[in-house]
Amino acid sequence: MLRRRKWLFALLYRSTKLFDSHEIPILCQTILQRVAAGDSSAVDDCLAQYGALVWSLARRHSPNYSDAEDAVQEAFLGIWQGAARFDPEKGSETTFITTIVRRRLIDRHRKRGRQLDTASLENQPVATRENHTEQVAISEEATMVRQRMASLRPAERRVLELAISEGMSHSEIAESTSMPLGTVKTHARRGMIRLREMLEADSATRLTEAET
Amino acid sequence: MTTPWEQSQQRLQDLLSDRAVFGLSVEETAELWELQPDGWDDEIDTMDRTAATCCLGLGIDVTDPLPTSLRNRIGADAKRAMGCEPQ
Repeated sequence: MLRRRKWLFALLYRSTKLFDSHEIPILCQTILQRVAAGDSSAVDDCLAQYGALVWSLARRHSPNYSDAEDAVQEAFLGIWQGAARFDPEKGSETTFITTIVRRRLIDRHRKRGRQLDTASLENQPVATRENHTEQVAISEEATMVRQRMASLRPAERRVLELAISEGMSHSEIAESTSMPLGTVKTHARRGMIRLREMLEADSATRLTEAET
Repeated sequence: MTTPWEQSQQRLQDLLSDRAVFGLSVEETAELWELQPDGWDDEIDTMDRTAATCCLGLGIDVTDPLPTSLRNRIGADAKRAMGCEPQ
């Protein structure tokens, strides 16, 4: 697959003049690569493609509507600034954007220094796990991680679900599950380290398969 | 019996995991920067990416679009920063 893509790039490189300064044919560029190359139409494409994803994440981690709006603006600033670092060989654009947005939201939450108060979002359309009529297009990596999560110990999986999907803190999880705080931390750490190892192994396997 | 080096590596892994999932306090952030050797940016990225992939795998509701006024504001700001006149 990788070889085929490189071959296609090479063919386009020779047959068209549609290149940017990074010598990647414009037709083959991802949205983020176009943003990094200064293509202003890519801004609209990025907002159309990922706006709902960023908005959903922001609402989930913000105490109120106004804070969610600020968080989205900050998150997109991070996306524009980080676009040049996107490497399609390391993961999908969706994962890269989610990584940037989560980082910004966690930092905001830490700075705010107070717990998530979803009550103030009562009058706004709030995401609920039971109401997933349309989910973000799940990338290959996300499908893989779901399978890998199933192989974690139940307590590790539960802690990671509550932390990552529900945005709960250590102490909130401890209270909700009646686990000691130290146990919550241990489960989260072990689960994350095991997941990372499994995903890295999967990624290495895919790379080897692509090169053969 | 673990060596001091192994202990510091373990602590580093714990901090990277905590950072990706929960975020770190100011003290923990300082500890992370003190412990991490050169070239560990990749390690931080990998842990953050693992958490993001996990987040996507668990499902995100995208039924509600970004509010139009907010979307227009973000787009206009970005284009202005790129040196283009917003349409």
